Amino acid sequence: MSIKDMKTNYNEIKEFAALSNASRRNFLIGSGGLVVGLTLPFNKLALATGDGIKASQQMNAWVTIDPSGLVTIASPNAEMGQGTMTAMPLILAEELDADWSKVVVKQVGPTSKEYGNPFFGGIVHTVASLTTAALFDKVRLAGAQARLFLLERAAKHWKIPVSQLKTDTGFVIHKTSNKRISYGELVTLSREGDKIPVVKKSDLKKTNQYKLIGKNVPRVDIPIKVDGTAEFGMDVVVPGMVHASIIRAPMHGATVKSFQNDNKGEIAKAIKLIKLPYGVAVLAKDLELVLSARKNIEVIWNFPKAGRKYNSETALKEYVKISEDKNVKGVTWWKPYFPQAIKGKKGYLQSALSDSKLTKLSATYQTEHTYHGQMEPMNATALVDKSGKKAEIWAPTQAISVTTFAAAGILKTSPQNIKVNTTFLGGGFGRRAQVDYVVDAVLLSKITKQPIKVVWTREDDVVGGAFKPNSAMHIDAAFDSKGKIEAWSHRTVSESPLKFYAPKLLGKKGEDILVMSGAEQLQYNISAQSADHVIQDNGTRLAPWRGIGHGQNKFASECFMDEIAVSLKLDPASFRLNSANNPRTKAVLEKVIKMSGWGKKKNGVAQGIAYSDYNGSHSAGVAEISLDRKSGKIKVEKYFIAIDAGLAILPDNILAQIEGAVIYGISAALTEKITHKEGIVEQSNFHDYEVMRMSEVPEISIEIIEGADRPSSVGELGLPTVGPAISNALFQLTGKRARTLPMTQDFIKELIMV
Amino acid sequence: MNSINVKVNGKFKKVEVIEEATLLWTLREKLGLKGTKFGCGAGLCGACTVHVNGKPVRSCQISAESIVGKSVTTIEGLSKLGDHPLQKAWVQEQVPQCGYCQSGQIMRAAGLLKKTKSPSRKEIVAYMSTNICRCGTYNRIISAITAAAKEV
Ligand code: FES
Ligand code: FES
Repeated sequence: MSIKDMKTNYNEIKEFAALSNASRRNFLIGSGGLVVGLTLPFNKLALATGDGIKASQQMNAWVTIDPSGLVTIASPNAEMGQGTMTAMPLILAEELDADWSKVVVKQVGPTSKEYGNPFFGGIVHTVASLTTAALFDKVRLAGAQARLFLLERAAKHWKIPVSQLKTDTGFVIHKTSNKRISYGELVTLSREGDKIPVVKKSDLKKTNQYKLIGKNVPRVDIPIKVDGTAEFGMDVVVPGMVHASIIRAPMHGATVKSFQNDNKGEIAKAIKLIKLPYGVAVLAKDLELVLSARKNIEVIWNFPKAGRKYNSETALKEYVKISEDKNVKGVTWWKPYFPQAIKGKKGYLQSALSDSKLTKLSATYQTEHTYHGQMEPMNATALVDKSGKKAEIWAPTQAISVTTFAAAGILKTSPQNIKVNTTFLGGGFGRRAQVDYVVDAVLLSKITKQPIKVVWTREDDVVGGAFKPNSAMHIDAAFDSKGKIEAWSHRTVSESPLKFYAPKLLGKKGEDILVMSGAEQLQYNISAQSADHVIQDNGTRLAPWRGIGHGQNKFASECFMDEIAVSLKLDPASFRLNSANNPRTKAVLEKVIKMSGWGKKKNGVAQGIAYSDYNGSHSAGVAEISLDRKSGKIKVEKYFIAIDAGLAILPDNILAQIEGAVIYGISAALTEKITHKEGIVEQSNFHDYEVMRMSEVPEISIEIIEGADRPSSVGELGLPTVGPAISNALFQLTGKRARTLPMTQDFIKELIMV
Repeated sequence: MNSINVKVNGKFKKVEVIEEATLLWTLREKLGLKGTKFGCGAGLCGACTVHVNGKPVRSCQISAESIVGKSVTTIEGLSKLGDHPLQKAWVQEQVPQCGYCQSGQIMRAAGLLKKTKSPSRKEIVAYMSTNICRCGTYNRIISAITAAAKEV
């Protein structure tokens, strides 16, 4: 295959990866509500098989029961520490009324339509904290349907009506006689006359009937994560496997001009080199040989001219100017997500912003690129078969269906011919929503006709990272003397991750939800508001990052809420409470005010508050910080956070997720930044990209409120309040406003000196 | 390629390694002990922590050659049944999230408990700050070490 072919393929891959047939409309707009009377297609074989066989029976795509009573539940989503592998099966087991001690969870590929996430057009895609939230009804139905099926079996067997039966923890029981039959035994009975039951809403459990949900069932993946046996992508071994490491282009779009191989003798003989459009791959059986040999290869690159001009810190200054320039026209944020964009009488927003009776305030905020820094560097293993039209892939990926599309794109075949084995992920945080590492492995396996495992080094992972965009946010508001906000206009100037890796998911005018999520202030009483974005393109690699658009947008809006409060001499917490239009918003605010003992000031320690919603969930955080004025070092002493993500399936796991996100957020707020010079990333490993260590971790207090009877997003929810709460606390401490993330020591030193 | 004799988890093994082979890749690739993880390859994260003669070291930073005549313990050899007090405490406190850093964390913690029987929070923090957990399980690690210290 020539380089030209590969290039064409590479573009196709990007198209495919983008495509993921997720229609724009479905993205983030959930089906909501319960689909009553929906039947899940039973496995045809299960219905057709004869009497009393000893085989297990597949109830539907999600659940299989065997004669011993073992219940196998499918887990199609990526387990990256968020607990999906426990939470989803648990919901199913709840409706099935299964004995949890007999449940086995099985990681499966995207092999059934039933596994698809309605938020993403029906593909299997584990991102944006939308797995449990979106699939809750589906797995409940699957569990309830299997339970009804077993009830009907028992009714047929005992020749009594279903109405006289009930279930309890793996058994069907005759209510009056207490006669019992286990689920396992029922599976072995005659399958004649089996029908696919239709689940009615009344067949589902009420919240007060839950036996597993909300009970802190331990996570199923934890025991194998303490003895070294959990298999991550990095641990995959396939017979005959060849290792590969790629000297990757240091800048997106750069191509290999030439390269020189200084390996000699034995080593030169043991390795094989393959030139790809975006790098030089070094292959050998022995991974360490590969890693060592690649140090002796020098690549000369062709750099794209435009990308070479990118200096991220200068660019950000430019974004700040653009955000403040009223002559630049932005793209209005999407109506479906942001009904308030059109709220109020036409023209009211502008007239309020220039109403002389109202107080006006404006401010501009900025955030820099950040890197995901997941502990497991990118990697993937692929085996393309002899025909070149079929492949098996082992990958730690959040983009499970997209992996099949990407591989199919390279092999010019159908996604059905691609088998994906999702391993455990050593962290995802949005980085693994892309499939560049899968592309590496599939391309090389296609060329070599051998099973290939591609391993990125940490340096590859940083330099070839896909970052959170550089962003500038400008807000203008007008409010009255009591703090009633009449007008609020928000602009974000930033690069667009969707434009980079999934342009088909952009809105008609280029709207990017990954830039704009959180720019809407839906939970505050604001008479008229608008948000728009101005997209910049500097040819850098971009990705969603934990918290998505909420990270930068809530940093701006929640600092700004404080600025309004201060300008009116109002208490920032009461001001938010009085502005809140939603009881769940009020509840988390009230809770965190109580938890943190809000308002008390101690020597050298100050508090700051922030609120954020996220996809129907709510959070309010209070940061308690101290400052070493000499070094400019901020220390978060305590963080209090109250969250409401509706029904808490695994409360202890929610605490873990929130705690992790708070730490991720503090780390980003204080130290993390990626800078580009002439288009090339300047950082390379954890010495110059510092992430939080145990020594910096504050005491974290979390309280959970269950404000709804269904679950909403958790994984991102702990993050958005952190940056603004710290900045707001800094203002309380110093009277200086940090409108920049990260608040590095140098930045703070300069800020407090002025 | 060099042929060296190593003692890992109580067993003697002969392995073929390249000249500059590190202990990390030797364990993972030559001995199939995949529980020891590659995180940074630069001595910065601690994911690759194992014990050499009972002391925690970063296996990415030492050569395979250097362990000849010494005894190496990896997460697979920490206990027979995965029931070392630290492992039990790790399950009890539900520490791991993604889990990728945890072998290194546990091996590091085991090194701490060998040295200090019941470490204070401060001692734990000082000793464990060598190891990164990007999922942010730090506070649970502290609780688990404290709980395990009572058992040892
Ligand atoms: S892999 Fe050895 S310290 Fe990071
Ligand atoms: S549990 Fe994921 S890095 Fe520690």
